[in-house]
Amino acid sequence: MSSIEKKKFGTSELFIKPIGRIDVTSTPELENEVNSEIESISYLTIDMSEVDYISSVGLRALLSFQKQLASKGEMKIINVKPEVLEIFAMVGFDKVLNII
Amino acid sequence: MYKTIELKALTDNYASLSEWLEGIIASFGISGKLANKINVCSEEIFVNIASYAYPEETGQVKVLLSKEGNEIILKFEDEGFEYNPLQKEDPDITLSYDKRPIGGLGIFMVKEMSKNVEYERKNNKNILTITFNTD
Repeated sequence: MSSIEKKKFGTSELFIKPIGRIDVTSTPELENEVNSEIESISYLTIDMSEVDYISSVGLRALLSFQKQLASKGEMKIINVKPEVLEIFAMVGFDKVLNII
Repeated sequence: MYKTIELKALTDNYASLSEWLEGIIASFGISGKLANKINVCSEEIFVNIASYAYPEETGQVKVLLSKEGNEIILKFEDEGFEYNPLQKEDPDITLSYDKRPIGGLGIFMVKEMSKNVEYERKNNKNILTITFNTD
């Protein structure tokens, strides 16, 4: 991943836009960006419009965010490209994640 | 004819593997979904080997890639302890998020994305051969 765009709205809402691949090299950075805020936020939006690759390490991170937010708010995944949606569907994440 | 790279089995070396693969995949004239599948499968297997094959002293991983007719063959060889990843039970992908374990998707994805996966133990090596169809 070359970079991550990050915006905070108020105190409870975080917007994250990863750019590039979500793989074993880049996922720790994504986890750091989200986990540093996850205690205080209730809503997380991940914009996937610039992501064309995700591996199981990245999927694991998304599931972990979802588990942490479900009890107190919501995680939304938006603008998913077809190639990534295909991977979500392959592992059943199209049913467990809130994909818009 | 196989193209080959040999790397120390460290997760940090995945970037080198990925770069090498991109070049070979492009030279085979492959792009889009198939290129993505080859990349994802390579990452899953490489990371597995880097994480588990050598619990003590880190060893090597050899990765081989070839195009034969309408098939792409991707092979991983390591000298770590004997482990057949295909024996791992597939995850239940119908469970709701709160019941799903966090991990266990990698090998399942490799099986789903490829035409065939075979494991053999030979000369003290784990050899995993993954085949993809180009059409």
